[in-house]
Amino acid sequence: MEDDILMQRAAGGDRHAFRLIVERHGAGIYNYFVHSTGSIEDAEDLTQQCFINLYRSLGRYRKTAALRTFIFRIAHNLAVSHSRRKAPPLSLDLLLEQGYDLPAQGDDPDELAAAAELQRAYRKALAELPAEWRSIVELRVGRELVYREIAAVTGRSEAAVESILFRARERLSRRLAAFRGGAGGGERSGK
Amino acid sequence: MNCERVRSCAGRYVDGMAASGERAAIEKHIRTCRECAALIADQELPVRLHARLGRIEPPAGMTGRIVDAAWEIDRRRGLARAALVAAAAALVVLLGIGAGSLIVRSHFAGAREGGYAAYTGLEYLDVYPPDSIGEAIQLAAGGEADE
Repeated sequence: MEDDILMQRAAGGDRHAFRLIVERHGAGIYNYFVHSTGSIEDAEDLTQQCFINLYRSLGRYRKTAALRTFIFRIAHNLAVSHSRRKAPPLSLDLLLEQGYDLPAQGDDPDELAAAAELQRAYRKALAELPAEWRSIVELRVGRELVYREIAAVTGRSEAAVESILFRARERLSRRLAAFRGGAGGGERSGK
Repeated sequence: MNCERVRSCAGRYVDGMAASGERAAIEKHIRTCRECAALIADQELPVRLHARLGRIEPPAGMTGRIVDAAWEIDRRRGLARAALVAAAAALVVLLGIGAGSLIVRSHFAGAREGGYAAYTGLEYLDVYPPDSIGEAIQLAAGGEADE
Protein backbone atom coordinates (compact mmCIF):
# COMPACT_ATOMS: atom_id res chain seq x y z
CA MET A 1 0.00 0.00 0.00
CA GLU A 2 1.31 3.49 -0.86
CA ASP A 3 2.53 5.83 1.86
CA ASP A 4 -0.05 8.50 1.05
CA ILE A 5 -2.91 6.07 1.44
CA LEU A 6 -1.45 4.86 4.72
CA MET A 7 -1.17 8.47 5.91
CA GLN A 8 -4.80 9.18 4.96
CA ARG A 9 -5.93 6.09 6.82
CA ALA A 10 -3.77 6.87 9.85
CA ALA A 11 -5.17 10.42 9.90
CA GLY A 12 -8.64 8.84 9.92
CA GLY A 13 -7.76 6.90 13.07
CA ASP A 14 -6.56 3.63 11.48
CA ARG A 15 -3.92 2.45 13.95
CA HIS A 16 -2.78 -0.42 11.77
CA ALA A 17 -1.93 2.07 8.99
CA PHE A 18 0.26 4.07 11.38
CA ARG A 19 2.00 0.90 12.53
CA LEU A 20 2.76 0.05 8.88
CA ILE A 21 4.30 3.50 8.37
CA VAL A 22 6.56 2.98 11.39
CA GLU A 23 7.52 -0.51 10.20
CA ARG A 24 8.31 0.80 6.72
CA HIS A 25 10.39 3.85 7.70
CA GLY A 26 11.52 3.08 11.26
CA ALA A 27 14.81 1.37 10.46
CA GLY A 28 15.86 4.05 7.94
CA ILE A 29 15.11 6.84 10.38
CA TYR A 30 16.90 4.97 13.18
CA ASN A 31 20.01 4.58 11.01
CA TYR A 32 19.79 8.23 9.99
CA PHE A 33 19.91 9.24 13.67
CA VAL A 34 22.76 6.84 14.49
CA HIS A 35 24.94 8.24 11.71
CA SER A 36 23.90 11.90 11.83
CA THR A 37 24.15 12.25 15.61
CA GLY A 38 26.57 9.39 16.27
CA SER A 39 24.63 8.60 19.43
CA ILE A 40 23.37 5.06 19.40
CA GLU A 41 22.09 5.72 22.92
CA ASP A 42 19.79 8.50 21.74
CA ALA A 43 18.88 7.10 18.32
CA GLU A 44 15.84 5.14 19.52
CA ASP A 45 14.48 8.06 21.56
CA LEU A 46 14.96 10.39 18.62
CA THR A 47 13.28 7.89 16.27
CA GLN A 48 10.34 7.63 18.67
CA GLN A 49 10.11 11.43 18.95
CA CYS A 50 10.22 11.70 15.17
CA PHE A 51 7.25 9.36 14.72
CA ILE A 52 5.34 10.96 17.61
CA ASN A 53 5.77 14.33 15.88
CA LEU A 54 4.57 12.69 12.66
CA TYR A 55 1.56 11.23 14.49
CA ARG A 56 0.69 14.64 15.90
CA SER A 57 0.85 16.18 12.44
CA LEU A 58 -1.17 13.49 10.63
CA GLY A 59 -4.02 15.94 10.07
CA ARG A 60 -1.67 18.54 8.59
CA TYR A 61 0.04 16.23 6.09
CA ARG A 62 -0.61 17.21 2.49
CA LYS A 63 0.61 15.27 -0.49
CA THR A 64 2.94 18.03 -1.64
CA ALA A 65 6.03 15.88 -1.05
CA ALA A 66 6.79 12.21 -0.54
CA LEU A 67 6.16 10.92 2.98
CA ARG A 68 9.84 9.99 3.20
CA THR A 69 10.79 13.65 2.67
CA PHE A 70 8.16 14.73 5.21
CA ILE A 71 9.52 12.32 7.85
CA PHE A 72 13.15 13.24 7.15
CA ARG A 73 12.26 16.92 7.57
CA ILE A 74 11.08 16.12 11.10
CA ALA A 75 14.14 13.92 11.69
CA HIS A 76 16.59 16.55 10.38
CA ASN A 77 15.19 19.21 12.73
CA LEU A 78 15.40 16.78 15.66
CA ALA A 79 18.97 15.75 14.79
CA VAL A 80 20.20 19.33 14.45
CA SER A 81 18.56 20.48 17.69
CA HIS A 82 19.84 17.34 19.46
CA SER A 83 23.38 18.16 18.38
CA ARG A 84 22.97 21.73 19.64
CA ARG A 85 21.93 20.43 23.06
CA LYS A 86 24.52 17.69 23.31
CA ALA A 87 28.26 18.17 23.00
CA PRO A 88 30.41 16.42 21.96
CA PRO A 89 28.04 15.36 19.19
CA LEU A 90 29.07 11.77 18.62
CA SER A 91 29.62 9.07 21.20
CA LEU A 92 32.18 7.42 18.96
CA ASP A 93 33.69 5.28 21.65
CA LEU A 94 30.31 3.75 22.40
CA LEU A 95 29.75 3.03 18.72
CA LEU A 96 33.12 1.33 18.48
CA GLU A 97 32.63 -0.60 21.71
CA GLN A 98 29.34 -1.92 20.43
CA GLY A 99 30.94 -3.33 17.33
CA TYR A 100 29.72 -0.83 14.79
CA ASP A 101 33.15 -0.38 13.29
CA LEU A 102 32.81 -2.64 10.29
CA PRO A 103 35.76 -4.91 9.63
CA ALA A 104 37.74 -4.21 6.52
CA GLN A 105 37.79 -6.81 3.78
CA GLY A 106 40.89 -8.74 2.81
CA ASP A 107 43.47 -11.06 4.37
CA ASP A 108 46.47 -8.84 5.06
CA PRO A 109 46.41 -7.98 8.80
CA ASP A 110 48.27 -4.72 8.21
CA GLU A 111 45.82 -3.64 5.54
CA LEU A 112 42.90 -4.63 7.74
CA ALA A 113 44.27 -2.62 10.65
CA ALA A 114 44.93 0.39 8.42
CA ALA A 115 41.43 0.20 6.95
CA ALA A 116 39.87 -0.03 10.41
CA GLU A 117 41.95 2.93 11.54
CA LEU A 118 40.84 4.92 8.50
CA GLN A 119 37.22 4.10 9.26
CA ARG A 120 37.65 5.30 12.87
CA ALA A 121 39.31 8.47 11.64
CA TYR A 122 36.39 9.00 9.28
CA ARG A 123 33.90 8.70 12.14
CA LYS A 124 35.91 11.21 14.15
CA ALA A 125 36.12 13.62 11.22
CA LEU A 126 32.37 13.22 10.63
CA ALA A 127 31.73 14.01 14.30
CA GLU A 128 33.59 17.28 13.91
CA LEU A 129 31.41 18.54 11.08
CA PRO A 130 28.62 21.02 11.86
CA ALA A 131 25.39 19.17 12.69
CA GLU A 132 23.58 20.33 9.57
CA TRP A 133 26.43 19.24 7.29
CA ARG A 134 26.55 15.84 8.97
CA SER A 135 22.83 15.45 8.49
CA ILE A 136 23.11 16.40 4.81
CA VAL A 137 25.98 13.94 4.24
CA GLU A 138 23.92 11.16 5.81
CA LEU A 139 20.80 12.13 3.85
CA ARG A 140 22.77 11.99 0.58
CA VAL A 141 25.17 9.09 1.10
CA GLY A 142 23.43 7.02 3.77
CA ARG A 143 19.77 7.57 2.85
CA GLU A 144 20.37 8.24 -0.85
CA LEU A 145 18.13 11.27 -1.11
CA VAL A 146 18.66 13.41 -4.22
CA TYR A 147 19.51 17.12 -3.98
CA ARG A 148 15.88 18.15 -4.54
CA GLU A 149 14.71 15.97 -1.66
CA ILE A 150 17.50 17.17 0.65
CA ALA A 151 16.59 20.76 -0.22
CA ALA A 152 12.97 20.03 0.75
CA VAL A 153 14.10 18.38 3.99
CA THR A 154 16.50 21.11 5.08
CA GLY A 155 14.77 24.17 3.66
CA ARG A 156 17.91 25.01 1.67
CA SER A 157 18.16 25.55 -2.07
CA GLU A 158 19.49 22.70 -4.23
CA ALA A 159 22.58 24.80 -4.99
CA ALA A 160 23.20 25.29 -1.27
CA VAL A 161 22.85 21.55 -0.65
CA GLU A 162 25.33 20.80 -3.42
CA SER A 163 27.75 23.37 -2.02
CA ILE A 164 27.47 22.04 1.56
CA LEU A 165 28.06 18.48 0.36
CA PHE A 166 31.13 19.56 -1.59
CA ARG A 167 32.61 21.49 1.34
CA ALA A 168 31.76 18.75 3.85
CA ARG A 169 33.49 16.07 1.75
CA GLU A 170 36.42 18.37 1.13
CA ARG A 171 36.82 18.92 4.87
CA LEU A 172 36.44 15.19 5.62
CA SER A 173 39.11 14.32 3.07
CA ARG A 174 41.43 16.96 4.50
CA ARG A 175 41.04 15.38 7.95
CA LEU A 176 41.97 12.00 6.46
CA ALA A 177 45.01 13.26 4.58
CA ALA A 178 47.37 11.35 6.90
CA PHE A 179 45.92 8.06 5.69
CA ARG A 180 46.45 8.73 2.04
CA GLY A 181 50.09 7.66 1.74
CA GLY A 182 51.43 8.60 -1.60
CA ALA A 183 48.05 9.52 -2.96
CA GLY A 184 48.62 13.22 -2.32
CA GLY A 185 47.88 15.61 0.52
CA GLY A 186 44.46 16.63 1.72
CA GLU A 187 45.10 20.39 1.76
CA ARG A 188 44.04 21.09 -1.75
CA SER A 189 42.41 24.29 -2.78
CA GLY A 190 40.37 24.96 -5.85
CA LYS A 191 41.82 26.70 -8.76
CA MET B 1 36.22 21.82 -19.60
CA ASN B 2 38.66 23.74 -17.41
CA CYS B 3 39.72 23.10 -13.79
CA GLU B 4 37.36 25.72 -12.38
CA ARG B 5 34.41 24.12 -14.14
CA VAL B 6 35.45 20.67 -12.87
CA ARG B 7 35.55 22.02 -9.34
CA SER B 8 32.09 23.53 -9.69
CA CYS B 9 30.51 20.25 -10.72
CA ALA B 10 32.74 17.72 -8.89
CA GLY B 11 30.10 17.13 -6.23
CA ARG B 12 27.36 16.45 -8.77
CA TYR B 13 29.74 14.12 -10.62
CA VAL B 14 30.54 12.10 -7.49
CA ASP B 15 26.87 11.97 -6.56
CA GLY B 16 25.99 10.62 -10.00
CA MET B 17 23.88 13.70 -10.75
CA ALA B 18 25.97 15.29 -13.46
CA ALA B 19 24.47 15.44 -16.94
CA SER B 20 25.93 12.86 -19.30
CA GLY B 21 27.84 15.48 -21.33
CA GLU B 22 29.22 17.05 -18.17
CA ARG B 23 30.24 13.62 -16.91
CA ALA B 24 32.10 12.75 -20.08
CA ALA B 25 33.87 16.13 -20.08
CA ILE B 26 35.03 15.68 -16.48
CA GLU B 27 36.32 12.17 -17.17
CA LYS B 28 38.23 13.42 -20.19
CA HIS B 29 39.71 16.31 -18.17
CA ILE B 30 40.88 14.26 -15.17
CA ARG B 31 42.75 11.85 -17.43
CA THR B 32 45.27 14.62 -18.01
CA CYS B 33 44.88 16.86 -14.93
CA ARG B 34 46.30 15.35 -11.73
CA GLU B 35 44.99 18.22 -9.57
CA CYS B 36 41.41 17.66 -10.67
CA ALA B 37 41.78 13.88 -10.47
CA ALA B 38 42.86 14.34 -6.83
CA LEU B 39 39.94 16.69 -6.24
CA ILE B 40 37.51 14.05 -7.48
CA ALA B 41 39.25 11.43 -5.33
CA ASP B 42 38.85 13.74 -2.31
CA GLN B 43 35.14 13.91 -3.00
CA GLU B 44 34.82 10.17 -3.51
CA LEU B 45 36.70 9.03 -0.38
CA PRO B 46 34.09 10.18 2.19
CA VAL B 47 31.33 8.64 0.07
CA ARG B 48 33.08 5.25 0.16
CA LEU B 49 33.84 5.49 3.88
CA HIS B 50 30.36 6.69 4.75
CA ALA B 51 28.81 3.83 2.80
CA ARG B 52 30.88 1.46 4.94
CA LEU B 53 29.26 2.74 8.13
CA GLY B 54 26.71 0.10 7.26
CA ARG B 55 23.18 -0.56 8.36
CA ILE B 56 22.51 -0.92 12.06
CA GLU B 57 19.59 -3.06 13.11
CA PRO B 58 17.16 -1.11 15.32
CA PRO B 59 16.62 -2.47 18.86
CA ALA B 60 14.08 -5.28 19.09
CA GLY B 61 10.54 -4.06 19.76
CA MET B 62 11.24 -0.47 18.71
CA THR B 63 8.18 -0.31 16.43
CA GLY B 64 5.91 -1.55 19.23
CA ARG B 65 7.26 1.03 21.65
CA ILE B 66 6.75 3.84 19.14
CA VAL B 67 3.19 2.76 18.37
CA ASP B 68 2.39 2.39 22.10
CA ALA B 69 3.68 5.92 22.68
CA ALA B 70 1.38 7.18 19.91
CA TRP B 71 -1.62 5.39 21.46
CA GLU B 72 -0.74 6.97 24.80
CA ILE B 73 -1.15 10.35 23.11
CA ASP B 74 -4.61 9.24 21.95
CA ARG B 75 -5.49 8.10 25.46
CA ARG B 76 -4.39 11.43 26.97
CA ARG B 77 -6.26 13.33 24.27
CA GLY B 78 -9.38 11.27 25.11
CA LEU B 79 -9.05 12.01 28.83
CA ALA B 80 -8.52 15.70 28.16
CA ARG B 81 -11.56 15.75 25.87
CA ALA B 82 -13.71 13.99 28.49
CA ALA B 83 -12.57 16.43 31.17
CA LEU B 84 -13.42 19.33 28.87
CA VAL B 85 -16.92 17.93 28.18
CA ALA B 86 -17.52 17.39 31.92
CA ALA B 87 -16.38 20.94 32.69
CA ALA B 88 -18.63 22.32 29.95
CA ALA B 89 -21.59 20.32 31.28
CA ALA B 90 -20.96 21.56 34.82
CA LEU B 91 -20.81 25.13 33.53
CA VAL B 92 -24.13 24.70 31.70
CA VAL B 93 -25.76 23.32 34.87
CA LEU B 94 -24.40 26.19 36.97
CA LEU B 95 -25.57 28.74 34.41
CA GLY B 96 -29.00 27.06 34.39
CA ILE B 97 -29.26 27.23 38.17
CA GLY B 98 -28.18 30.88 38.15
CA ALA B 99 -30.64 31.80 35.41
CA GLY B 100 -33.48 29.91 37.14
CA SER B 101 -32.75 31.68 40.40
CA LEU B 102 -32.89 35.06 38.68
CA ILE B 103 -36.21 34.21 37.04
CA VAL B 104 -37.79 33.07 40.34
CA ARG B 105 -36.50 36.16 42.13
CA SER B 106 -37.86 38.51 39.50
CA HIS B 107 -41.19 36.59 39.55
CA PHE B 108 -41.62 37.02 43.31
CA ALA B 109 -40.34 40.58 43.22
CA GLY B 110 -43.46 41.45 41.15
CA ALA B 111 -45.63 39.59 43.67
CA ARG B 112 -44.18 41.57 46.63
CA GLU B 113 -44.90 44.90 44.93
CA GLY B 114 -48.56 44.15 44.10
CA GLY B 115 -49.31 41.95 47.12
CA TYR B 116 -49.31 38.17 47.11
CA ALA B 117 -53.11 37.91 47.13
CA ALA B 118 -53.50 40.07 44.08
CA TYR B 119 -50.82 38.05 42.35
CA THR B 120 -51.92 34.58 43.31
CA GLY B 121 -55.62 34.97 44.21
CA LEU B 122 -54.93 33.61 47.68
CA GLU B 123 -55.90 36.35 50.19
CA TYR B 124 -54.33 34.67 53.20
CA LEU B 125 -50.90 35.13 51.61
CA ASP B 126 -51.12 38.85 52.38
CA VAL B 127 -51.41 37.94 56.08
CA TYR B 128 -49.17 34.90 55.99
CA PRO B 129 -46.46 35.37 53.29
CA PRO B 130 -45.18 32.31 51.39
CA ASP B 131 -43.09 29.92 53.43
CA SER B 132 -44.28 31.42 56.76
CA ILE B 133 -45.60 29.26 59.61
CA GLY B 134 -48.97 31.03 59.32
CA GLU B 135 -49.20 29.91 55.71
CA ALA B 136 -48.51 26.36 56.74
CA ILE B 137 -51.25 26.47 59.41
CA GLN B 138 -53.65 28.05 56.99
CA LEU B 139 -52.97 25.33 54.45
CA ALA B 140 -53.40 22.65 57.12
CA ALA B 141 -56.73 24.18 58.16
CA GLY B 142 -57.99 24.11 54.57
CA GLY B 143 -57.00 27.62 53.59
CA GLU B 144 -57.63 26.81 49.93
CA ALA B 145 -61.28 27.59 50.72
CA ASP B 146 -60.29 31.23 50.06
CA GLU B 147 -60.34 30.43 46.40
